[in-house]
Amino acid sequence: MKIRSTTKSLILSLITLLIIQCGGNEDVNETLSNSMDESSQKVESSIEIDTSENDFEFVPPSPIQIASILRKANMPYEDGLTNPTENADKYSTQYKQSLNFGVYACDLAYCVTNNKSTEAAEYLKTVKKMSSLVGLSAVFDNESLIKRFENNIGNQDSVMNLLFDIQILTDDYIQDNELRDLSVIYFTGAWVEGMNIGTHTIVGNTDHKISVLLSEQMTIAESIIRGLRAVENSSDDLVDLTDHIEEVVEAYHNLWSVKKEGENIEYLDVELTHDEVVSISDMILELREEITM
Amino acid sequence: MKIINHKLFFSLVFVFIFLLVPQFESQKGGEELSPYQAYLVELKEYRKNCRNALKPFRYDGSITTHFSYKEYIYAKEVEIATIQNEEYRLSFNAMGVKNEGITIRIYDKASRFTSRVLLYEKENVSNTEFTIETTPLVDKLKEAKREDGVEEEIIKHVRLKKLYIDYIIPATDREIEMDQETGVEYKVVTKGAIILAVGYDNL
Repeated sequence: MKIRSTTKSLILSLITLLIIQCGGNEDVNETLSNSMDESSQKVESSIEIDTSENDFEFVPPSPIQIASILRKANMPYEDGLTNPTENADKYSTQYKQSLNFGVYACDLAYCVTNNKSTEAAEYLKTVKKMSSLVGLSAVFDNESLIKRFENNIGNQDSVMNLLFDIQILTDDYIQDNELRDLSVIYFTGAWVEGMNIGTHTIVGNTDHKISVLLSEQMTIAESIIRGLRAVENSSDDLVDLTDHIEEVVEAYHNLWSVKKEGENIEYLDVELTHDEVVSISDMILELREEITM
Repeated sequence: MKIINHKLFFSLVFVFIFLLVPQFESQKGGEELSPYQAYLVELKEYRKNCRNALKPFRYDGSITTHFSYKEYIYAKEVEIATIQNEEYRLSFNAMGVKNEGITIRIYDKASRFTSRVLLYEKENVSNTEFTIETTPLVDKLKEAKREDGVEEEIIKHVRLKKLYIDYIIPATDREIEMDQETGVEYKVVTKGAIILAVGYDNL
């Protein structure tokens, strides 16, 4: 009995060792070759574009830029538009946590760009809390981030710089750890929240520039859909969300103001009528509820 | 109890010899990193430089595109969304392209569209860094639209909502090397990476 157990332990150890060794060989095979191969032949006529659904690479606008655009469009800050920080505790699935990490990142940027320091401090803490749930705790573990924020409350430029630093750290961490799926889902949350904040203001505003803002966000939605469709092992909830975003985009393309532009829609900003804005806004608000409830 | 102790002993020996010792070894000095790991560390530094080159534009995002040289030419595509009529700066850092140079092409549409317009091209890109801005790209698009007979009234409102960046990876013959320990031959996978950082004019 004793020998069998010992043998088992040895066999287990050997198997594990073999697995490790096999993994090690991959490193050898992937050794970077610095040799320049001058004899390679270029075949310009047939270039395979390696853009399979799983290899979709997209640089979306950052949540900070979305918030800055809202600010530049002279959209006044409105209380109650952001997702309450208390809601953070009720998101129990990775899917909801990832989405709402993006929602709160956008809310944080919205508060900072509007110089709402007290609110921004709360959102920074919530973003930090959510980051640990979605696997980005390394980005926010640095206590100096929070201290830097507290020391600069009231100094919008410094707080904005801090936000940019957080964005850079997040982007780097996502790339270093190949968390592409997480980045798509988190950006989706940020995008929906940006739209939610924007549409509330748009509906009560007749400024044509603001309705243009809504239409251009639909272009980004198309990229989001492609990114979400490329997420590996996506849950039913994620598939449903993607379908819903697709419905919004389809509804947008069926609007008269959009249809009349024909194929020029690819290059032109579209001014929507007030009724059109309201119809799309309603769909956005439903999407936002689906994410944050 | 003895059996458990025996098992525990073997497990501990195993953990020490095969898991901890290599880690101690690799922590002794930076030279213990494999060439590929060292390359990844280098890329982090390039990424910083790439972002710094965006100034005075504000950082919006970045993406590192890794690729392997294959025995046939192929391309990888990156999509960038731009907001409003902002001026954007694209900062490319190709210091991670250490082998044969790649070609960078920027289009207004994705590769699935045959009617897309080539807005920018740079060949043989390796061991270099540079930036470009979007205004000349928009001008080029307007010029193409003008040639297509699009009305001037429409052309003056034309803007780029998205950019598609194609990295064309040239074909290379893969070297064959032999594993010194096992004697097994394998094809060396030659890798490269190009970093793109995107910034927008904050005015």
